[in-house]
Amino acid sequence: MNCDLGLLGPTFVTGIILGFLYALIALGYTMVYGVLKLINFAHDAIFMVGAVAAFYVFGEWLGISGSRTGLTLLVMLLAMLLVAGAAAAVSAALLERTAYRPLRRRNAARLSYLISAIGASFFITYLFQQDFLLGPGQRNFPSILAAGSDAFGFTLLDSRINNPEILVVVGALVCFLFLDRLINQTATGRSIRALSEDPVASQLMGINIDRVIVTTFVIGGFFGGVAGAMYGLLFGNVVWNMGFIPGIKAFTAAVLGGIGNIRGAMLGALLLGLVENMSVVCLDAEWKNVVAFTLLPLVLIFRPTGILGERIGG
Amino acid sequence: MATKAGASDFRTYLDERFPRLSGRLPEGFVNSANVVFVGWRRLGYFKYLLAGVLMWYIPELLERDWMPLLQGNFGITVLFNVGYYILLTLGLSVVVGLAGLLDLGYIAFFMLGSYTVALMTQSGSPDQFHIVEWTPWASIPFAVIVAMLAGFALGVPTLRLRGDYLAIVTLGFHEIVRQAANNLEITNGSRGIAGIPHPTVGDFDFGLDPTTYWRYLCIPAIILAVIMIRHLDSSRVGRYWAAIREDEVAAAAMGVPVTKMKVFAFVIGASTSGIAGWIFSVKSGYIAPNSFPLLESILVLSAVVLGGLGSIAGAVLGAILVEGLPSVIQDASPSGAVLGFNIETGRIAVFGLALIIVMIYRPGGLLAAKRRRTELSEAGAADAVVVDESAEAIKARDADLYDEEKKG
Amino acid sequence: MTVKNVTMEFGGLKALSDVNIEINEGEIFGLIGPNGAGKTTLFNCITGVYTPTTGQVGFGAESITGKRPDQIVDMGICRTFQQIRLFPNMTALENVFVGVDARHQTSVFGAMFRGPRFHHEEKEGEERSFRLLEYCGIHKFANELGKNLSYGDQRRLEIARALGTKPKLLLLDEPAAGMNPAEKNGLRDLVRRIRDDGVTVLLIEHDMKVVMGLSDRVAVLDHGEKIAEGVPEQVQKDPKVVEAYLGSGAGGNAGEAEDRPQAGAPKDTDEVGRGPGNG
Repeated sequence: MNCDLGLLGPTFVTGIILGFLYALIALGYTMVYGVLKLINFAHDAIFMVGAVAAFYVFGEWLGISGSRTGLTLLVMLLAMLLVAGAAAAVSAALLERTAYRPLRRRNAARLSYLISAIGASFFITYLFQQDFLLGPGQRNFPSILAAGSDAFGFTLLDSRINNPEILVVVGALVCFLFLDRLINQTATGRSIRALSEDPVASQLMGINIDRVIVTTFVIGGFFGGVAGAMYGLLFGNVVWNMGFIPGIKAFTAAVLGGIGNIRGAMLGALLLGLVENMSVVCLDAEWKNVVAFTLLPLVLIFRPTGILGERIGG
Repeated sequence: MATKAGASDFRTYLDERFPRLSGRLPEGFVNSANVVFVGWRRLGYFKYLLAGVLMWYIPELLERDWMPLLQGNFGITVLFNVGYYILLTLGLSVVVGLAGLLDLGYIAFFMLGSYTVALMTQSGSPDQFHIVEWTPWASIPFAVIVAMLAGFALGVPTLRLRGDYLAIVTLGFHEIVRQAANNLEITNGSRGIAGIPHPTVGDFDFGLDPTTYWRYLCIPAIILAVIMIRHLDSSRVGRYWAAIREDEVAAAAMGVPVTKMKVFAFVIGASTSGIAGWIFSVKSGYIAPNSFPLLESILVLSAVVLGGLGSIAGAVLGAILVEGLPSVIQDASPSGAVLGFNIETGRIAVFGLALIIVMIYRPGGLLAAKRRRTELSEAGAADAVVVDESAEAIKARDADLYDEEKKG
Repeated sequence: MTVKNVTMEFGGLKALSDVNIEINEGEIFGLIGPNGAGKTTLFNCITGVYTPTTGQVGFGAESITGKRPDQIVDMGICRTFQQIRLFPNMTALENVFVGVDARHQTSVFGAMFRGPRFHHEEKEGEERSFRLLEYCGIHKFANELGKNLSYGDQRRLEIARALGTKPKLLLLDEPAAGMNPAEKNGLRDLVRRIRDDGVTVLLIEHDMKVVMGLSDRVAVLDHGEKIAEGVPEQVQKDPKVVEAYLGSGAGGNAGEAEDRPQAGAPKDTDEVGRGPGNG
């Protein structure tokens, strides 16, 4: 095993940045799990839908490409993230309504939900692979953020940090702060927390379960969509199966930090991002995914409740 | 006093699976069908021989172009593909259907079985790594054993986990195995291993003709698997699996060694994929990590679920639906697409949708018995996701109940 | 069986504190106490669902602390549940058969290849299961699905199933809950018959008439501690016991506290904790 210590710096940076991206996706998993005690397998497709929405609206319909600056940039960026988030949020709500709610009405066994979730994930993903939608290849994402060594940015620990990277970090932090406040300090957040702790009592207290569940899906979905747009800006493309691997990693991150726990999702995601990327120091890059995938069973075996435990408020 | 699985006459069989249909079929039809049904059961083990003979002559049927859309060689190829797929669905049916464990990485065992064959025969380029270089026949037990060991290795640490987690871990397992095969030298990386020899008996080379494979390999393997599974199902083991499905905690409290039984399910389930892997390797002669995408794992799962959980006929139906039907449609449509849906990839979207629909409207799968359907549709004591006590929910649950009772 | 210094803590909440109980062979031992006193938690500690934070549980000469539930059944202890936990989609006969299977040896191998042991055990098992159903008076429901039985019959079925494991010690968790007086009488006779046939019984029950009428000796738990022990008449008069019941508002000790089992309940129930590692 030959370790190239010179890579420590750059992989650390990449790890952090990707970690923030995973964190946003992890939010969707962790919130739904907190409330329904169930993994929303289809969240990876939701993530993709967000990215794709931004791709279509800005790339295909408005035909925007090439970087912008200043106020135009800011407005466009916000619009893009909002479009992506909204599309994903709507999809998530639809998903809940059509696939999960009927099962809840029947008090179905857990296995049913899981199978349904898998079905949903595959339906949406492969739907978008068809030629009348994304098609089988990569599609270029409107690159409104300039990247490269001559664009705005700085170098940290031997790696180049440009706008997209800054966006991911700043954006994720903002989202998390917002969500943290939402969960801990608003009425909506309280109902979500109540539902996640005791569904029966919550109902008896007059909380409308259906509404809270939809809200949870919408919030999780929104952030997933935002993550999708960020992914597109960061990597410059969208693909029909872009959600698959990030989805698994984000879920692992959520479990790592304590499933159902929002702060845990952030922590877990950063940790995962670091471990996954810094493994490149000693291992070949092609083993990165294996490292990420092996992390999950290890966590589940040695610390099943995750680092921060399982309470949604953290 | 029936402790044996299965209905005693055709009417009961229909009532269990299709109660609404049962009420509508004419008496005469049911009675004649009953003669066949009961006669079949009376045959005991002889019926497997009979089934084998029937299966033997299917290629004849196909060769004579009696079945539309399945002419000649194409039909037999489809038959073969469905054949080894049935072995996969049968195995996964044990894991998911009998023991109730969600395995999303089943194809990993299939892959390991396949690679075992490749690495134990004279295959690939001259500098290809081999464990030994024997005749393909010798690697049959090893393929099965390797698959079973993998099932054991995966099962022991993970089967204590709850359903959702187990699912993701098994998924991860598949990816790890595939990536490993992709990255390691001994498996020739992503280029795969070609030139896996066909099995030979004396001068007779099995060659590439699917008929031989179907007749001499698939049929015995399938029949053997079916017999074993039936045996397990109506035995102490099957009862224990059913108890675990119903209520793990109660089962443990009654002396059921839960984790051990789950591991057994995994191991037994994996065994059929070992055989399937062998058959696949020696027939196609070439395997690569790309031959075993994660997608396949999910597809096999869909096949099992759609066909009907815990039902052998269901496993067969599932295999036909997921593997056979799309091939036929693809062959029949000139452009390889239907309604703008590329068949190879679009079928996956369709199956995904089908899974959702089946879960809502026919929870155990198409051919599942009513008991299995209610198992899946009503959460057990410790299993409920969110207990919804709203008026609509209660009405929906009761409606289910009244409906079935009215039809009897 | 001995329970020595058993303490059970759940993250700061002491469900059981230093409980000591000794149960002699052949007796019917009652365990009472107001709701939340820790009775079912104690059952869970004995049957391996929980491992006590401190303390030991011994059975005969062996220690059974921390063993798995199925291992404990192997040693001859079996239980029923407060919130009936049958196998709802299996017939009554099949339910009991699962219990009976605990004493069988057919392995996976044996089941696949159907050796003589398999055939023998299947036949004997079926007969024995049916006889147990008769013993408990529910044989006419042999082919009914567990969930279709009436409440009282379901409780009997749970007992029949537990008896299938040939226990030396039977733990009954509120068997009379939700039964009408006629059913309760039937239950009393059944429990006595069980004891007379050589099975020691440990009984949790809220209905005073039932528990005092059946038990040879009784122990009282309150807030996780044993506050009294002795013969029923003695315990009933014990001022500490009276206060425990009146104080917690669960009704006087002479009255019949008819509590229905609760769904989604406090920690003191059958629910194993949620989380990826469990269940």
